[in-house]
Amino acid sequence: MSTAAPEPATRRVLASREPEATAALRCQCYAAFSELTASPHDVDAPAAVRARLAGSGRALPAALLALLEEFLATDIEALKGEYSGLFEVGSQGPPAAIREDLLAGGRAGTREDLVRFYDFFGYRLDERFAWAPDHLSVELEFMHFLCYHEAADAAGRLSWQFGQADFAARHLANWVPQLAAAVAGLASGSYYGRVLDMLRDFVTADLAWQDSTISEPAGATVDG
Amino acid sequence: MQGVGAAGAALSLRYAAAAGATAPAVPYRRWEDLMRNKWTWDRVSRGTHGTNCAGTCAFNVYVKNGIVWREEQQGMYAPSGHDVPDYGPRGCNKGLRHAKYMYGPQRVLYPMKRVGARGAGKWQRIGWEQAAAEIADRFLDLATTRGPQCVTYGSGTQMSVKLASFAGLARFANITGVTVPEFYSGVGDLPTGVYATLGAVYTGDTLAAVFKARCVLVWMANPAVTRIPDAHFFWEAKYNGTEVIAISPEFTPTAMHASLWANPKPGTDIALAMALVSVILEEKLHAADYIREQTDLPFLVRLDNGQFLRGEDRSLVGKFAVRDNVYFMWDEATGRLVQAPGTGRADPPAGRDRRKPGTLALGAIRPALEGRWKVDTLDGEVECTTVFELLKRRAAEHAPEKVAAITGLSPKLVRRIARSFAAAKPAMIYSGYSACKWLHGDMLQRAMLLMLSLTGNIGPEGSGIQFGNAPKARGLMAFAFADIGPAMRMVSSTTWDYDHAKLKEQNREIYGQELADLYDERYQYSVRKDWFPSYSDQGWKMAFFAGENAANWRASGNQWRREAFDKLETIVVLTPDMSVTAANADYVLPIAHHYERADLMLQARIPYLQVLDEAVPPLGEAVSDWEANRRLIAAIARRAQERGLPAVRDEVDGRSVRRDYARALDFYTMGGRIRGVKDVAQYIINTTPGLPKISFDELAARGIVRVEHSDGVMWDHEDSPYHDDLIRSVVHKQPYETFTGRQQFYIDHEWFLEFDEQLPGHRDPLRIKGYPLQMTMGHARHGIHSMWRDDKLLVSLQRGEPDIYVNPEDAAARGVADGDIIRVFNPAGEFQAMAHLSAGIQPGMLFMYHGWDPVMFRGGKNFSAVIPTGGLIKPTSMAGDYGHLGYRPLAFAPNQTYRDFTCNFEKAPAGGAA
Repeated sequence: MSTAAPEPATRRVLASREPEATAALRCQCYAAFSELTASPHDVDAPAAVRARLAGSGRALPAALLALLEEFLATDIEALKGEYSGLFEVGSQGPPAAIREDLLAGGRAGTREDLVRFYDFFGYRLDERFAWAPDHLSVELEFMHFLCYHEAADAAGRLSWQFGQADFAARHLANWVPQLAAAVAGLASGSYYGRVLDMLRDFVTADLAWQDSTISEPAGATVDG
Repeated sequence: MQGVGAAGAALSLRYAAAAGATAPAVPYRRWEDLMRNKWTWDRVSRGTHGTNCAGTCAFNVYVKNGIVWREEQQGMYAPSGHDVPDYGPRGCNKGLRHAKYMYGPQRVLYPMKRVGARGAGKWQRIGWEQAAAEIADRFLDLATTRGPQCVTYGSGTQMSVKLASFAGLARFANITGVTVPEFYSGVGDLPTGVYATLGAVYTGDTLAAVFKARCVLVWMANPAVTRIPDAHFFWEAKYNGTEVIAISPEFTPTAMHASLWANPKPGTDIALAMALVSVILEEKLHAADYIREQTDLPFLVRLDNGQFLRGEDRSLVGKFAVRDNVYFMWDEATGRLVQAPGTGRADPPAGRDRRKPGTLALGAIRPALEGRWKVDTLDGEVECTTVFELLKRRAAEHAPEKVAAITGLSPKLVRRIARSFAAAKPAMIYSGYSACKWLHGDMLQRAMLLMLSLTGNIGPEGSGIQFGNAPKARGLMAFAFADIGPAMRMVSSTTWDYDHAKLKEQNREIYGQELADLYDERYQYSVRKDWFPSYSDQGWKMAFFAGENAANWRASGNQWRREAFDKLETIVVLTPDMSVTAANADYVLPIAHHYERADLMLQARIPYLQVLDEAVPPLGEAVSDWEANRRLIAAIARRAQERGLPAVRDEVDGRSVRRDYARALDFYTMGGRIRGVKDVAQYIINTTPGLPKISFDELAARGIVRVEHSDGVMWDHEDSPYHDDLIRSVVHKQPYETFTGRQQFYIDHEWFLEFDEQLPGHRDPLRIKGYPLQMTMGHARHGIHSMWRDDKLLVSLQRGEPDIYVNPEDAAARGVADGDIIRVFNPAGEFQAMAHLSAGIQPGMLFMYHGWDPVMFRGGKNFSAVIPTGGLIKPTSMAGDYGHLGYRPLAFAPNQTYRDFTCNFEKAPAGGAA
């Protein structure tokens, strides 16, 4: 076994990514979705959304922008009620668990994989939220975090980019469609139902787009 | 955390406390790179599981990134001694699942308020402040109009084993005046027969004592399933030559490993026990000198009225004597009547250092065990005999040959067991709480104790009836009452339920008018006479439930739900996990789970004090029980102040009590001296005898510490943390805390005489006409009561859903195959479960492991739907005004009956219940 590990000559190749043009916007999208899927009981989401709209949030896609504006226009108590009734409290657990580990049925390794991602990239959860690394809003914030560094860290960009692709594939894309379907079954057309529908489409499209920027030559191995 | 990147992207983090600003130290290329970093732990905490399995198993709890990932059993116990196996390592399948379970979907993470109809499953998350304020207002409304007694604070076994939490609850109840329906009798676990005989409830030793026995009857117990950390003592004893005899109607996992298995018909155990007694007496295998000194067997009984010959019969006692407490023997040495040593003295006031005066030592007296004598009394000459003679007569009625048809056991087998038991020195009966769940379980225990006493097996190491022991409650009650004095209402759950769930009506429907009237008449008489308390005059309006799943386990479950629980105006459940009780509440408050809280565990099965430590902060908005009660009582105080409520006068058991709710928080925290649950734990450590006086933090670092005076396998020292009552009498010759001052096998209370229960004897278990199958239950391998019962992995190791054991012949007669869903029914109700065919189940019975929550059953009803026994309060269990008999919290109270019913089953309609 070699002790000096040289930079692996990965065969995964990024092409047509244009991070300067895409990372910042994607960073904003993931942040906005993280705010919309945060528990309004735990996070001052209206303030966050207000700040986003006051800043560069106006550059967000129109449909997402509309959801943000609707969020601000809706009575926060009503949103709290809808959110907790769907995602947080129920007689046999939350009707639609907004945590990957719960929704995916406690599959072995789910949370470990998340924590390994977070640790690898230096994303350390606050003690108050540490118990739920699989919360949708946290996972989306992590994607926001990766996108931010993709934009900000030109030297290490490849790591942030591959990290996004793998994280989205191993986590978000695996369960967001399932969650959206669960919410559609419970509260079709509700505010959070529409948020989840849009998020599902976004995550799916974003992963497809990310995949389109990565070439995987035949025979690629772990070590590149 | 916020920042703006070079490309205009803004970083906005809400969940992350710190984030690396540069690329990872090692480039990321594929997900496999995640695995290059060694997985390390941030912290390893000491802990255990705060459930009533009596295990208190030392675990290490492994934490990384604020998450508990795994736990591991610890073999940190010191060697037990040169002649017994060690206590550790300890643990079981449930404990090893908890790191996963605590993050499961059943977890209650936030205060919840019902927003739809009760039980409809519509909830809203609310804040602690709102929840506490609304609950406090409701409580104050009731406390200031009807009185606090119409509000209950029910708790269960999960609560009682966590000493600091339980102390906090007791203090809450003491301050507020709410009624505490105690669960010990409520779950049918109170060994009233032991108390009636020995004047003590807590007679058990460590489990290592099993190894010292030469013969162990494992009776009404199944330690291979229910005592997983300690079951090895039984098997090691067996390999060491001890005969382990399992007695159970069904072929249990314990029977599988025993030296011998006897399978009486369900509910015939008294007949078997008395048959064993009869053999011991008939073959003169008894220890005559032991019973002469330690028991009432040589005491004289008047043959004209069946009552003890007492001082008041002869008026021979001096002015300091208590005449109804003077008993007599016939002294063979002098041929004269003599007063029994140690009798006739007034009991000192109840209290910490209460001891009966006098001595059991016989000196030169040689009490006769057999004979008849004519004695002068105020009524004239009366013929008397000994209890021993009466016992011989009673036992002879139960000779093995006479009861074979009842028990279904061959006389040869019974005689063989009796001889083995009597020959073994020492011999032990390891009995589970199942004995207490039969209507006449007290007589079974009295018969078991007869077997032990007759053979000199109460007192010596490796002998005795091993029900359990409990810590002396001095520290706990000292905390509950500190600064304010005792002002708590405690009542048996059994009688509370009887008062509020119309259980007389159910008795009439199920068991007939005659029984219902008789039982009710005695019940009401007892309450009228103040033999037993009742705080029911203002009804039951509001309930707190903590550390229990009340709507799961109660006998007469349907009736209780319909007539009592559902009629409550306000239901507050404090719990870590959802359950049927929580699902039907108005408020559910989130409570920390085992690895998220600090507390103390003290279980007499092992000689160690075990810590519960906070490995991680409570999940979500959960808090410890102590903190939950602090928030509630703070809200009560705040709202009382805001509403300008003056202090109210209350009366508890004839004592006037002033309740100043505006100052309730100040009382609760002792003026702010108690800042949190660790302070409560420290208070208990400091004030409980036999606990090493260390700091809680040191205990948390060590995990366990050995308690004092625990060199042997018995609790035989007055300064140990556990009860040593029997040793005081057997070794130090102090009278027992019974009316007679002896191991009391003869009870001449008029009700006992009326029901022919002055000595134990067989009674047929009650049956429901037309329903042929006796159903019994037992603790499960895959859950502790209802906790962990819904864990996905554990469920997958069973049948995947609740199952019920059925004899193959009974199944065939009903066209049922293994795995079919069956409908179990009787006039009380029905439920559905999967048929688990087993030749280990006798024909004519059904067996089910308990704990399954109704939500796990098809149709949402569990076994309690068919258990109609909640109102079966046998009259003698309400007897009073008789020395030690009468209400004694956690000692003498009527058990809730859980057996004594029958049912039937059929294949469920296709598709099962909705």
